[in-house]
Amino acid sequence: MKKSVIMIISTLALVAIIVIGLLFQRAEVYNVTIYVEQVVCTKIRIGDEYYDTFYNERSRRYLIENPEEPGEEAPLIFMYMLTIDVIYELHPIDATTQSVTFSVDANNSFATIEENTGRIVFYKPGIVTFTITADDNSNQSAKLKIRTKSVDA
Amino acid sequence: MNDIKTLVIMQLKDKLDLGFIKDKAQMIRKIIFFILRFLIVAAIAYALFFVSSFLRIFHNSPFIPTSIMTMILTIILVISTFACTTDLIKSLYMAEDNQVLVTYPISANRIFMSKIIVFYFYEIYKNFTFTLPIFVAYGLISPVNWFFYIWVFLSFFLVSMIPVVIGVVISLPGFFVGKFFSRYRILRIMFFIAVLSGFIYLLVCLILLIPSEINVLNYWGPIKVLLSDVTMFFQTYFKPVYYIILMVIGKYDVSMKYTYLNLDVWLVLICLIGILIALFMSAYFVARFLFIRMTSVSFEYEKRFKVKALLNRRLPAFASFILKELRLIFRSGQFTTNFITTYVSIPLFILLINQIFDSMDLYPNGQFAVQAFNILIIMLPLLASNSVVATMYSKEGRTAYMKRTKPVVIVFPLLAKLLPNIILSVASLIISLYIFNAYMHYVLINMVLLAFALIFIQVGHILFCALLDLMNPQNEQYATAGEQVNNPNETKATIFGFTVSFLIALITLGFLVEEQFMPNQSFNYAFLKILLIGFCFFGVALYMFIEKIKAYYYDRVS
Repeated sequence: MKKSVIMIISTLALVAIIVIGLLFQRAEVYNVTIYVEQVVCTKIRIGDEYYDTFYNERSRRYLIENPEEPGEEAPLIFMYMLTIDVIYELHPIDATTQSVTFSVDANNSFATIEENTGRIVFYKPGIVTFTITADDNSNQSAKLKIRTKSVDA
Repeated sequence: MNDIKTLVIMQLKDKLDLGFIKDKAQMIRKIIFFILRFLIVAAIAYALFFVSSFLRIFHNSPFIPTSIMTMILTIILVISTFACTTDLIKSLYMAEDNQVLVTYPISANRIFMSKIIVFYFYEIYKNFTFTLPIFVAYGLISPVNWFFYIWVFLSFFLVSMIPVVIGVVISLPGFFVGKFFSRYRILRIMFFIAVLSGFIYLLVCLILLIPSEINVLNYWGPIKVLLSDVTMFFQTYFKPVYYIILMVIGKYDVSMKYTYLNLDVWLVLICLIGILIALFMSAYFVARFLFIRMTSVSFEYEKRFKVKALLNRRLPAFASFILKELRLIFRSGQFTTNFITTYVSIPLFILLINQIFDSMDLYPNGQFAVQAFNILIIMLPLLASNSVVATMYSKEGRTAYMKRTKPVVIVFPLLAKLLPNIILSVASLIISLYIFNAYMHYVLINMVLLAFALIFIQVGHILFCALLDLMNPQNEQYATAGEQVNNPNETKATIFGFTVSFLIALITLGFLVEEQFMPNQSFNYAFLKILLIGFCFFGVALYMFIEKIKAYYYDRVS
């Protein structure tokens, strides 16, 4: 069988699944809202490197884990415009609203965070705590503390 | 160098249609088509990246990670390497043109090099039409350096070498494995059956994993986590490919921008060049030795048949022709490809489609649409694959005329040629309908009616395709140009197959929808009417087939 025929049949199948699914599927009424019960900060990403985080019961904050000493905080080496992506999960995983808002104390002069994307930029070395808040009025949030230090320090 | 260039162009013509080079208008058309194709692939890739960014598929983040490119390149490289290796084994050591090429006033080393260069050019062509547009699309959505848009084109001349060089290396053991299997045919068949069965079993298991209730909204969270984990798996376990990505796109630095001002990028480039040269040189000296040996003393590797004395058994005329056809089928690998892509894949595809639809809660009209769609999906590949039948008599080349000299009814050899296709396609059709009914739950009599209707249509279409070949034979074309024939009968058979498939699916839909308003809703009449249509179609095809045989074989000869 020619490749073009296989392509046509595959495309046809995909289109049919979508069209039949859209036109003939019985509508389901979603009247139950599943609220977020927990916001978990799982990792941070710098460039292509991923760093695990852990929850510190005492400070009630997520901290960056030292890979050589699990359970211990690892400071990040400061560079001007050090950019970090926050990676999080919402529990339960089928929560109705999946979006969150990122925030940081506006008066801090060390770092900023993009409200929608969670991208952090450090301008000075220091300790900053960021908050991830679920958008579904569940009042669930998580705090992530990041410590950066310059190489000389 | 000119001799290698000539050899490369000569061999490249077999892989790519280079006829446009001489014609300016055709060349411009080709270039425009190439650019359009590049832009379309890039646009589709960009749209997919944009959607995944908008939906925050990877790590709940709008930023597309490098790991996605690692995954894409890994898959492309694995497929390319596999294709390159199998083609290189055939082209380097088993190609029939080797015996002709060695007669040219050029050293065997250069012939060997020219063959590898041909593969390299073909790989570049494939990458520039598919892989490169994806990279450009990624560049457009990611914070890449301006240098990326120049470097990505240059770096792909190097990346294209990877599957070719690995292919040359693997082709050596691959050749000996192939030789081993060709010597022990039983082992080859057993190995093939084992691999095929394993593959089918794996596919069926995967298809049955589809959840009984598909609700993307409910499963969106786990799906996103799974997709992120899959890309991370590729980044973690396929480090060499990640390093190649690093070399092509640049290092994703601490300010989240891709940069080439990093030692890692250039270190990877130097290492890649070094590894490719080392691999190629080591493979070159061994493979070249084998290549020269194969081209000069190829008879040493040819199959040594053990001549067994067999008692000449007299068989009925029709059985003799069937036996001959079966022997031809088992000697040729082409039938196997058609067999897998069509007859094995249809039941699997029907299982997949029905498993997906089964997870949807559909209204009755939706159920009928699904059933008609099932008929379409069964008939479309079956009838489209019958285009092979429209070439069968012509492919016999000049030997086809020997049929006229045989003292038998001409229908025997003509029908014997069609019989393997008829039997296998009918078996595939019955298995597909069995799977279809496992989801649709019709009573047995309805399924029997439908099965006979579809069998009549399939056999009728096979006869029609054979008829096309009888009426417009291409024997001379195949006798002179081998397999590379643009056969008009094939195109006609495919178009007719598409038309019949769509018509029968629409008619089935109409009859089923109409039948639901009947008092008993047994659907007997609907399936009976489909059977009647199938029977009429078969009757007309059979009548025309017999009439044309009379006209083309008996009347013309007399």
